Amino acid sequence: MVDFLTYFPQALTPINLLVLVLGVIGGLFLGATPGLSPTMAVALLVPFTFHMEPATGLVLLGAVYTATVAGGAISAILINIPGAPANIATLLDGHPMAKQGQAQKALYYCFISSLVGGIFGMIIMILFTPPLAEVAMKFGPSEMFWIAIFGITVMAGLTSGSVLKGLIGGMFGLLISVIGFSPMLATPRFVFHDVLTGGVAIVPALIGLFAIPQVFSLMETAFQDRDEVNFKPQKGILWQTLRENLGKVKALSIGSVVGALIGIIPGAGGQVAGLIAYDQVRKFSKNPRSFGTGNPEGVAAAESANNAMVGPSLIPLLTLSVPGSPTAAVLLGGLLIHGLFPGPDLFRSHAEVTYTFIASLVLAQVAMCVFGLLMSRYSHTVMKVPDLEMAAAVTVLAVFGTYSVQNSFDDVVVMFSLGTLMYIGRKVGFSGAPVVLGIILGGIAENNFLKGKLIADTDVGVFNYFFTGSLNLVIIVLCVGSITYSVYSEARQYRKEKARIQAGEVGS
Amino acid sequence: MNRDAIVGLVCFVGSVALYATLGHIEEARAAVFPRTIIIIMGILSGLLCLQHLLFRKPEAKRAPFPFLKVGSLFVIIVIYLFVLETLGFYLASFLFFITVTFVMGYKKLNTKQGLRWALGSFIFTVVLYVLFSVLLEVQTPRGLLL
Repeated sequence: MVDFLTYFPQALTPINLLVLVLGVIGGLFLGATPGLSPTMAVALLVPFTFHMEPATGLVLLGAVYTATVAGGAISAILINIPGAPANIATLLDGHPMAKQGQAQKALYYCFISSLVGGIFGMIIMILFTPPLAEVAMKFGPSEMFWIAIFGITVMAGLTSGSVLKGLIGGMFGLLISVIGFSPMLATPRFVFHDVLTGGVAIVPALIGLFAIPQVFSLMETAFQDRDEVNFKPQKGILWQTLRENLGKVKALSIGSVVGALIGIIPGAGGQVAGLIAYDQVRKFSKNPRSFGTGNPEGVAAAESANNAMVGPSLIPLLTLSVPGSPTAAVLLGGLLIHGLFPGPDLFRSHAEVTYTFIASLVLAQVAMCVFGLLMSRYSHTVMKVPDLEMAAAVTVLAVFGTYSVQNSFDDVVVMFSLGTLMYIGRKVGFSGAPVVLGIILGGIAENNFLKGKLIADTDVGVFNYFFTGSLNLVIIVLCVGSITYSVYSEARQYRKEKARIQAGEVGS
Repeated sequence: MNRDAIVGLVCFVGSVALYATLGHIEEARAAVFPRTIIIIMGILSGLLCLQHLLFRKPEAKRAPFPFLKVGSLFVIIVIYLFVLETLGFYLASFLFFITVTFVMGYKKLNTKQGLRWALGSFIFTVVLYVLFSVLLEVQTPRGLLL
């Protein structure tokens, strides 16, 4: 906490404040634009931060991350399409409110609740991140190897509809990470073409996996009709809504606590946080039937939860390299291109950059609320951005962003090839997040595996080195637990679906 | 055959092919990690096929895939990348933007819409130029123009 306060003024320098404000406004715009996910927005921005000071670059990424999560609620409320998966729960009551002529009130609820949840999440992050980073100090090669595997298993289980596909995606990412020369033995692997000699860099992979599939998807939905509401600005309701919103203590508290807890669990993400918080608030409500018909408490619960998730989702990321959400996985790429490696060193050798980043996230929550409230009146204009122009613009930015990092056309080819492959992958049920995590954590996993093997060969043997010791066992149990839980969830979903179909057959 | 079973089969065949390529590696130790990953991937692919046999999921009706739209965009992007280094980033991007809007949106094309798209492409390219080359001074692929 002392370190946080010491470095807080660093976030207030003119350039950092300017970048923060631009990031928040841009993030709200990107989040509100249907078809552009926060993960893709952050992935597209990563190469631009390469030309900035590390702290300033991270301020920009953090501001965009925070604002896109809240901005996604705008399209959820106005056109019934969540701007991000995190906003799925928001549309359940937000869109009915908009249909009843209360669109602006719903948007105010969204930004005020996001601020409450976001600040709560940041407090949790500031309190818990440094002590956890100290725990990571005790990790040797074997523990780091298992942590990398844990990250992939968690992300694989929770971001795809199928655990097996998620794990295959993670393995595919690990394989991409080994393309090029072996880091310890300098032997070429999977170099089928000159383009692959230097391996696959993080930026082309991030942009390819998240932006290009989105471009093709935008093209699929171009010129399709949307469930748009007739937006009529409501005058003089800000203060009334503020009082009303802050009076929903139960919804805000449950949303914030659930969001923060879900955020800490690696891989869970805002979608899960929003839906669980919404469900809990409905269960505790005196009038659960009003949920889904335009109850503002539903919006408050969902939005406080998905923004409370933002800070805690960075705890496992900054301490163990295990991101709490797909967007956090992309942020990890942003850290790595600036030479910042998660762990205790981040809070010691790079304390200034790290705490400036954390401080800027707190400021971004406030800026998100202020600019969100100001933009609410005009937010419906964002909905009118046509998919066709958006697809063309994203492609150009993806090409430029990829090229600009190393001035390499080969990177552009890799980016587009991976992107096209991912688009096909998405069509058959794969998700980009486990692949990206495999690429990012692949180096950590292999290096620590080889280091550990060297130690083990001269000491206790490979099995004893990797499979004994309390820390190793705890992480292995977590890996097995995360897969088991994911399999259980999938099996439950399968049974539900089967029962629903059978009931339908009997009914017909 | 179910879609997931085909996906599992393709991944399995891919794993076998990748495993075979590691046979010629100069330093055996460099192949340990990728080989382990490929074996796990092969097992997971097999399990995906098996899952289909044991727990057959009813396939939901899907909307027909818009081959023409997506295929046309793919071809335009490939051409864009192909001419990028010859024409330069800004000229190629301007032409790409205008081609995508005119070709993909031909059903909505009329004089007013055409002018709007052309102007939009021009403004977008100018904004990119000012932002990247003037303000950020970032290097872009150079060609015939700029």
